[in-house]
Amino acid sequence: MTEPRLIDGADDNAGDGDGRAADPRGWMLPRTVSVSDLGPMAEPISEHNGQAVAVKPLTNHPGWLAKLYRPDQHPEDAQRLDLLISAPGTLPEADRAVLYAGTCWPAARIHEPGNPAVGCVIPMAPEQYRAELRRGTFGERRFVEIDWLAKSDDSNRGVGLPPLGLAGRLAACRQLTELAAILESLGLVYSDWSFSNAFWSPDRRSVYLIDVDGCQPKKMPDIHQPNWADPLTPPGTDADGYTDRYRLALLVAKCMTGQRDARAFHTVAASPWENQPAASEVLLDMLLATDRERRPSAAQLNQALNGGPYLRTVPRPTRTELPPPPPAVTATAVEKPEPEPPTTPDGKKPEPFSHDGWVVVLVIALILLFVIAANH
Amino acid sequence: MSLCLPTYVVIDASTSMKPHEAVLNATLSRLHYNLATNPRVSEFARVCVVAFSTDVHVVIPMSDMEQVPAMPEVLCGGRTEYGKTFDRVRECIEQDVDNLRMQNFSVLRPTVFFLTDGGPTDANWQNPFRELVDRDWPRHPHVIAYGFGGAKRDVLEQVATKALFIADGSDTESALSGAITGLLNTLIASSKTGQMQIATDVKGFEYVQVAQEYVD
Repeated sequence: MTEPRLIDGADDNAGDGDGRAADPRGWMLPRTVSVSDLGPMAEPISEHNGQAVAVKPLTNHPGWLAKLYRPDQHPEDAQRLDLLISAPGTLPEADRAVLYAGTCWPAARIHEPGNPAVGCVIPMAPEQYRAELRRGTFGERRFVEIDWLAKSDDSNRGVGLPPLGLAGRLAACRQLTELAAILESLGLVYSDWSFSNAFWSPDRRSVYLIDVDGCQPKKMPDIHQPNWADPLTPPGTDADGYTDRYRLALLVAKCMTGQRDARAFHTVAASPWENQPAASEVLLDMLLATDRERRPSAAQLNQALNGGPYLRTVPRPTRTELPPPPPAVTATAVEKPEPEPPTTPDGKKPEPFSHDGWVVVLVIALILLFVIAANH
Repeated sequence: MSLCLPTYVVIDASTSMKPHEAVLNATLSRLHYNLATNPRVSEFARVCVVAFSTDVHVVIPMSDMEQVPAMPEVLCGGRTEYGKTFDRVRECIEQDVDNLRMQNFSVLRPTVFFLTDGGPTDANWQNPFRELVDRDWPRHPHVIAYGFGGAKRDVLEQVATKALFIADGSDTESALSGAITGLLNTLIASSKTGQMQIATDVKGFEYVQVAQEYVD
């Protein structure tokens, strides 16, 4: 393979001096590379997902992917990507290790003539985040989205995943909030906190955040996601760090309780975690504060989930009421259609045999009998 | 309140599907697996499966597919009665929208995925169809149609109100698989945005834009 050509880039000199990246994850090329530098790419593992037109494995660099953006990206994207790629270098070593282990943090910007931000190079999520999901006669090994933390232990068992228990939920949420606190310390907005953007390893109880190459400094367009709207970030305004705090709290509340609707708020309010006494209050302040700028930070939530106190430098926010819980679904509340009689091979449904008509006739006859008897 | 898309998978189970019955059932089981193992999608898209031939059978009433242990088997045979099917779907929608609202869902316009390999054998199917998609009925659904085998393009052009997919010559079994994959991709994409996002790139099908899309 020929030596990649070096180009002007924000971080070409951030490595060991010859333009190569000092990336502890093993990325061997510079932090800005041309498409041709990367060599052949395999068939895409994902297409037309968000900002990406395709995500393709790099044949010559096992474990690394090229995430190729739609061609309508802003020109400033190159600068933003360079900022992201170099950001871990500003972190304490322990935080950098956590960020690299728990996210697909971009390693290099990909460019081509006329387009400084074709995409970026990201690591493939480790194999530990895959598991076989089984249902009936079907089974498939695939990445386990954090979606499954927001389900009951019974639901997890139903697809062959081990039950999480409080310990499993707590471990995942501690790691999520630790990653969020690191992003916050870098002044980055993620905005995409949701069920679909993190994987979960049931065996190692760890999480892996994806799509972090979309992070932006301070604020970014708020992409609408159903059921994740921040009530204090009006539609059409940018998402910022305070929006992130709300969405992170919503994700943690759902994952800690295994509930996906307003019941999660009520379970949190019942303070069910005796070894994390401050966690409920921090979560509720993040979710229900009437002043978005008084929402506690990701670091405060992380501390509370680790059993620490609710430390704060500003007064507690006032809170809105808890949302009403959804009505309990009972047999009488939800009437399901009558079950169908079995289909016969000729496609004809057997005539149902009903006693209803006869019962009505019998009742009317009895009433008439009583009326007649009373009149005699 | 959570968003919910009432989804009706309406499948032709007439005699012409009899040779493909095993594939039909395997395809439905795959649909069930994919929905039951994607909590985000099964939460958003509550699904009702209807099989039609001479009669109409609600195979799975409107459900969170995660709660459905297994997909019942569909037996094929009989005529291709469109009219009764549209009547039954209309009844289901009336009942299901009420039930979903009682569960505090914000209910989106229902969507009917209509999969058929033949033309209607009943002459008067248009009236029930008109009643189903009547824009004066506030719950009228979108209809996305997939036609393969002996399906009549001119008929399906009348039935599809949102999108039409016509098999490009692929065999019935490949077309069935392609249609269910397209349906799944539509539900996955829609669950991400909370709006109907039709997957138009469906293997083995030509995507036909609906000339006069209904305005909600």
